[in-house]
Amino acid sequence: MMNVTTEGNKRRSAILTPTVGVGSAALFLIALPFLLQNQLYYLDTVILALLWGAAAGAWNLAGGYGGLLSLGHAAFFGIGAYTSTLLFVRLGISPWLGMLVGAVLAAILGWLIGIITLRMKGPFFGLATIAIAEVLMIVAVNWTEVTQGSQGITVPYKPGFANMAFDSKIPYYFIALVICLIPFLLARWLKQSKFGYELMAIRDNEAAAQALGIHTVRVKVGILVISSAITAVAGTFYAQYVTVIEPYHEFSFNVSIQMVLMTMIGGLGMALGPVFGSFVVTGLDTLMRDLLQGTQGGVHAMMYGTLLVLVVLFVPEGMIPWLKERFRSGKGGRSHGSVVDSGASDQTFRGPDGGG
Amino acid sequence: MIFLQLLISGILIGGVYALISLGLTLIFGVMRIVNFVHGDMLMVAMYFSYWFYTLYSVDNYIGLFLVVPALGLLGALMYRFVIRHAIRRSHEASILVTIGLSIVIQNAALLLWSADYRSIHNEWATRSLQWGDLRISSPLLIAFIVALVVTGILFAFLHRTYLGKAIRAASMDRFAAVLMGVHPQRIFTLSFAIGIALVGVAGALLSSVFAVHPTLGTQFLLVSFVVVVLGGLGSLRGAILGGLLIGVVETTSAYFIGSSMKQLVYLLLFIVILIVKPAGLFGKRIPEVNQ
Amino acid sequence: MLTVEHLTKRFGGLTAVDDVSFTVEEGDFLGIIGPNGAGKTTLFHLITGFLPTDAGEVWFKGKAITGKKAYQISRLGMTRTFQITKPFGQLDVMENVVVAALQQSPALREARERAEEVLRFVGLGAYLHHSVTHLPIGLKKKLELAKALATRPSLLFLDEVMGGLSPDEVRDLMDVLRKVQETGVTLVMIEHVLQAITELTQTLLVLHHGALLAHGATVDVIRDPEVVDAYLGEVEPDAVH
Repeated sequence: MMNVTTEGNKRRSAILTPTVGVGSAALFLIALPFLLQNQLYYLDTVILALLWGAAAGAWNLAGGYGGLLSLGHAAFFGIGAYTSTLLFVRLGISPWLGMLVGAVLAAILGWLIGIITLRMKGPFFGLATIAIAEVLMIVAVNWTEVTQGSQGITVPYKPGFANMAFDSKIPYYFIALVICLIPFLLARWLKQSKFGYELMAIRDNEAAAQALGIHTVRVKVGILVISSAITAVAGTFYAQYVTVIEPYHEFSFNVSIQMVLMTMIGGLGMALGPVFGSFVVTGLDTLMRDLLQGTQGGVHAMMYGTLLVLVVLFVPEGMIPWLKERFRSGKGGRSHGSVVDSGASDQTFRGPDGGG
Repeated sequence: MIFLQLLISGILIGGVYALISLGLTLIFGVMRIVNFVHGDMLMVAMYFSYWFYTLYSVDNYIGLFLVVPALGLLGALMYRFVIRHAIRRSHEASILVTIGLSIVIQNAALLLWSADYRSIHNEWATRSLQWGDLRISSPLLIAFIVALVVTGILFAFLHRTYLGKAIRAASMDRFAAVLMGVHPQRIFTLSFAIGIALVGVAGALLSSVFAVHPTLGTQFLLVSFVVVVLGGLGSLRGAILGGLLIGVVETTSAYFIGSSMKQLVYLLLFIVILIVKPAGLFGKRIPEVNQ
Repeated sequence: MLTVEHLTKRFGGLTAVDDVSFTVEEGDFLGIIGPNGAGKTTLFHLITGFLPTDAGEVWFKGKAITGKKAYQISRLGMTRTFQITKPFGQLDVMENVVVAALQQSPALREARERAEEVLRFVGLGAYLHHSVTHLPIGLKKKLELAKALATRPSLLFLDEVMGGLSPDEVRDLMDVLRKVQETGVTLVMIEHVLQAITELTQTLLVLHHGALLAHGATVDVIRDPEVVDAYLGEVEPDAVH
């Protein structure tokens, strides 16, 4: 669907190949909604997959590239959904502006969580994110005068660009596509920027990163702020597309875990990982809905849980690298040699590292 | 008078929170994993208790002697077959695996036993002691006393027996357990089993206090997170004090601002602890990343 | 260049570093030896900002750096390696050093050039795009050195870079360190491999139970009977193996 070549391969291959790859991918993405125009059910699935791909992609920036295991990104998602919706419903402010305000609010919250918990070692960051999402959920449930509590809010249907509401699914598709591209392109940028290198170094070994002069807390807080803001943007789009928001969904632990799960399925710390994972999960979702007709709610979630356990235990690097490996070994050749292959194996190991 | 009433009710429920949190903090201390299945195992224990009572008329206080070994065994199996493999990968992996298991268990319960609230109506369930204006619910009082006894047994085990000492050593320094000649896998399995068995005790006791339903575990998990961080991650004494404290905080806030908001109070308290004293009441200093 | 005064660190009842004072002159190559547990690595942690001090002061290039964070000290030009190598596991050899080079030249292209240059300098030119997790220990130690060098330090702390290396690898790395010193970098090295100490260092400092036992020209210190007694006698067979 999109150009999957890694940086390393790209460097070696002709300059033409990636250009052609990107070009044909762009063409396909532009043509897709028109191809699916008469199968709205599938177009709907694609839009949702892009939307969750955007949210998971935002999570991946912090979780995959920065190693920040957030378990409460629903907090930012919900802020995005509720901010734009409340501004629109109560004050008539355009959801586009609401999207921006939501992103700023989420960024501020991300910054606060970051400066409090990211200077400490241990599971505090993950636990704090859960707590914040729960707090916001309780507030949204109980502050009924503003949020209408657990019954949720319906976004009034007034089609028009300014209201981010349309009578066709195609504009939604393109908005979702753009939102999905933001974390995707940012992830690609991380691979070739100072900030990104520092971030990945911190993920791999924080003390070593400090020894090189990297202000690790600032970098981690930085990526969390970016990730929070983008998650909120996805939240606003969700509200506009689905048109009903409820605290028990938007701020739920399930939403947080869904972002993690999708990223894990595709591949942690890969630009395409969360998008791939989102298409797998959303696709399975649609399939299950067809098969079960919604009779057995638990089966659905059980599949999520099982998938999470299986992926973490058996394909921890994600399905994209796994498929690539399959594909490559199917062709019979391996392009990357490890050190041992390349004739340096006479450099023997001498017991455990360091030793004194 | 009302304050005394709230204080007593809070301490009684706090004793049960402490019991649940002891398991969580023990598992964290020894394995450094945050166990998200903890609350769901409480739910499972309560269902076991409920079914023993409903199907075989086994009173939940007698059923306790069936539920606890069953839960301990479940814990050991869960560790052996799933969690052990995740710990080998990374802390993140073990957290995610317990989250996955939690989702599976919750929804399995939903499929098996539906979303209905189920409660035991034994002779204890509605009885309460009256003492002037003070009312003390009997099942809660029994729960508190049993929790106290079990905690005593746990501490005796950890301080008096060789295996118990090895567990404590492992929670301070993984290497120390190896030096004591106990295989780390044995320590881990045992700690996990004990942690879950403690939840089994709490589940059997609480089954005549609260109605059980598939997502009941989530709320108890959140409470025990707060308790464990308040007491200091990995600190057993901290978990006890934290449990009692949160019990009182919860009971008091439920009375004054309503039970739908009581969670908000302890979650905010949790955030305040993270800001002011992340090491908790009894924890060691939290290493900052800049050292 | 570096002045350490009355540096002290206690862990509970144990005084790991006990009132240690010394100076390092520009261009010097200082060796630090001492039995295991003498407080050598703790001393490094204190000077480079990885552990807070309990007492004492550290000056670097005339500036007090006591209490500064590790990254701040590194930015001033004082970098370190770790005894237990700490590669960035998901980055390749080249990228590991690029991270370091970026601290001096924020443009990626320049940083890549600088990284490649440093990697060739330490003898890792053939491994630029290898995965770091499968590197043998000798190469991991070199990578550790390359990362530190890529930040263009003026003062470099080496924590047992020779540990676990074969005699051939030790000689090879000694040549590299000589070249490093020729480029004008001042070096401080904790080392158990005596050959490296005697042949490379000009001055030597001996730690024993956290305290300074001897400090002076290497040739004199290794003949000091007290030092031989306390340290060399007991460690030599192990170091030669």
